[in-house]
Amino acid sequence: MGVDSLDPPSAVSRAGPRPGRRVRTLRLGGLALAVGVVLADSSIVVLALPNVLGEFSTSIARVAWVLVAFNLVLAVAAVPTAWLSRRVGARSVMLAGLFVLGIASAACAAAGSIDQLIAARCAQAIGAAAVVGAALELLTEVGGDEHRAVRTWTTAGAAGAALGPAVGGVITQLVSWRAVFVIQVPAVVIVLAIVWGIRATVPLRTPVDRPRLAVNAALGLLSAALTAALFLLVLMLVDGWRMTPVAAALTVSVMPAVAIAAARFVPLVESLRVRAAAGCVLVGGGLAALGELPRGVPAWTFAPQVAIGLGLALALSSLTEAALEDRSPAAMHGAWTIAMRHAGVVLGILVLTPVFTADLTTQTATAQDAGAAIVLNANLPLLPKLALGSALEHQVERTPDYVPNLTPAFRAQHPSPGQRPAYRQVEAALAGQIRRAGTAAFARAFRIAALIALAGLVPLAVARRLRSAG
Amino acid sequence: MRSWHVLVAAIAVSLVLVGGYRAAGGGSYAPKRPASPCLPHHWSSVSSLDAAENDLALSTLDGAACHLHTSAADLALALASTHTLEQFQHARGISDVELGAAAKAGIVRAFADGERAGEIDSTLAGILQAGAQAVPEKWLADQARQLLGAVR
Repeated sequence: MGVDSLDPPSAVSRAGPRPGRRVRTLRLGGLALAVGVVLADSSIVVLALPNVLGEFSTSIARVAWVLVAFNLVLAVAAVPTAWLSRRVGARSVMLAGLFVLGIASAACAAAGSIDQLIAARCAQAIGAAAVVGAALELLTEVGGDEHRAVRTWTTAGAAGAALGPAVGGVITQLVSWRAVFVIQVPAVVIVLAIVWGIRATVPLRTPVDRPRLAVNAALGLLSAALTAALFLLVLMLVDGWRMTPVAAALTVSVMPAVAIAAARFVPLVESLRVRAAAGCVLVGGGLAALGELPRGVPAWTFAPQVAIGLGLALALSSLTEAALEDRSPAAMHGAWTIAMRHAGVVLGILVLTPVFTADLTTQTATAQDAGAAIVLNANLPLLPKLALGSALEHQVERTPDYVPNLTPAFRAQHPSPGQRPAYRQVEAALAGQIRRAGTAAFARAFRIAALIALAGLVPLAVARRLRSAG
Repeated sequence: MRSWHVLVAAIAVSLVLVGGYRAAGGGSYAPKRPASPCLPHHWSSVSSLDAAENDLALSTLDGAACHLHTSAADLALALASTHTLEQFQHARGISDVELGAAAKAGIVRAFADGERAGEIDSTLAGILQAGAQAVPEKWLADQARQLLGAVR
């Protein structure tokens, strides 16, 4: 293994003998995989949180820190680790980051308490920060083209962030929430082996340009809004509509599929500013439509997801490119974009979580009233009606923080064959009210997120010197 | 592709999407509010004792809920147990006498609904209503609590 050196700072050539095309492709793929895994980590646990909550018997507020802690630490650590990367070399920082990420992922999988899990998530975020910053520099070194490196880095990050909840949901249901972290370990080991083979280069001490504040602010606001699309939508499907994690994962896969498919057409739009503005508008429109769902049916989420997916493809890459354009060094400014994106995610979670939890409580109470009215007016004799009402009440009390699952209450009844249609009618009517509550509870948070996305247009309007030709 | 075309298209798509969803019923898709308990309860055609006791109970519940300015569903949930009833009284500052008065209003209302539906003879309804009016409120509240305890 070569040792990265600080001296001499500028006189040593960075170009060694170029590896073969296949090796370069493998290395570029490995680095992109690392960026994808790291940014998927930001959202991969969303669908696992109900299981974590159940296993550790903790509160919703506490379990939310499994998500918040990672994004917060990543936002704080991104720029310092990028600075370190400049001082000691990207390869060394990348290897150290991967090592920490691997160990921390294993620790997350083995966590015995919620505190251990949160602590391991913080360590994971430190490793992730080192990896994602150094990866941009290594992508440039390996590929030899900074513009293409930025595009690969941005696309891998966007794909990882968008696919995270769906992948996490499938793994959680098919295996367990711990498996979400276990599968990261071999991925990290593979990238570690690939990066190990990259030749160490001497870090260059080029002057550091000031970050583009307006563009980064727009990126932060867009990320805060996307929190609703990536996290709230999944929570609505699982907790509000009581869908299984796999079904929820399949439902939300429309958004990343559209984002990935649209990414290749995005460069056809010349102006970065217009691309980013159109993206913010589409994300805002999609989120506002999610706040106006006319039915609690997955198909109604598809059109808003298409709009958000298109917006994501347009805005995220454009804003990241704009933040890095003519800025040196790229890795440092890439780190600024990561810091702002994850600060935005934290902002989104902190702003939107109290809104939807409060609305969930209100809507659950309203649904409870509506449900009681349905049972009272059911075509059943008084005593079976009272027994059913009592069983339903018991079931609601068992899950005070969530939209309740009423099926066990109906299974506990023993209706005569003549009464079965009436029971089925009551069950269907109650399920309808619960779905209405589960949808309405998230509406206000989606509308607020839409406004946050549109607020991203303000810094875009004041941003200067954005490239007009792509 | 002209850049501004994309921005105009994005604005148009967003407006059509949100407008379309609102027109399809978005914004009003929420749990249904139960009907006001102060509106008359329509009795089903009484064909059995089960149906009669059902209508009588629902009318009583509606009348009591109307008296307490709450929903029948809310009151029904409060009547799940003596504990939930105490919580309900405490949260709304309802004394035992007021609870008894609500029960009395409910019973009177039930006989009135039955009379309106033609299921209870008007003379009998009048006698039953007068009888209900004569019962002390506190006694009614105690009976309701004992009944709940017995049911549980």
